Amino acid sequence: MAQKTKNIFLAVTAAISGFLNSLIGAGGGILLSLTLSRFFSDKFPDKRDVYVNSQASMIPGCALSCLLYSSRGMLDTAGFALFAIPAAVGGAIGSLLLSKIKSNWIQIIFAALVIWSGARMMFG
Amino acid sequence: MLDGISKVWSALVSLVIAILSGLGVGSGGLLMIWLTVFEGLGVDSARGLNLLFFVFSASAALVFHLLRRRLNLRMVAVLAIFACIGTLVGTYVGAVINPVLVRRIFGGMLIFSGSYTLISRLRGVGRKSDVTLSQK
Repeated sequence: MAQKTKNIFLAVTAAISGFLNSLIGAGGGILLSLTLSRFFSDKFPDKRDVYVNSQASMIPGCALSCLLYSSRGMLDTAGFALFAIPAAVGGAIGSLLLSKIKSNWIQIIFAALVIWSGARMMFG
Repeated sequence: MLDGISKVWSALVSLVIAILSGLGVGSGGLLMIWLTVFEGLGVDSARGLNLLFFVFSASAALVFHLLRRRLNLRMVAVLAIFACIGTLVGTYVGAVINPVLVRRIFGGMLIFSGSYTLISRLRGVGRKSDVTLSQK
């Protein structure tokens, strides 16, 4: 695939990722990660950098989505303090661990959990 | 209203999910599942809180990633702009769409993404075993 076509494809994927993230509340980063690792692996010799870049790309869209939901009264942040501190601390711990551990087995366990959760949401 | 034990559990679960998020394996909406299945929140409320949770965990992780990992800031900026455009569309569609349908779509997406990740990771383990055996 030509570089220009790849770039357009990536931009469209990013838009779809933002769309999915705001519509469903999750999952956009996965789509972007898959696209980056498939078509832009030359830019990211270390696969962990794919996740880091896709994660960083999704932050502004998620923040925008939160603002829009909040402006319509669809985001109740009353009890969020309980999650905010663990979120920030956990994110920092995870990023520090990233360079030190192999994430392959974590991903396998995580993927199994995601399938189980997906089945519960779809058929439960 | 959550009692004391539930609050501790929620804090611990969110810490583990945030660590996974910081590791780069993604949270995959796990907090959304926790909030809907175990805390009894509606999909609409859980969706917004899950996004807000991601903003907090990913931003904290990003600070350290900036120092340690290879971030292509130009690419990230362009992707973020397109993601914001998609977000604007998704937020307006999300305001009018049936929550049960959203839940089903989300469930289907989790099954798809989980299966893809599981298969690719298991293949990765298989390939590593082959290499190890051939090296022996």
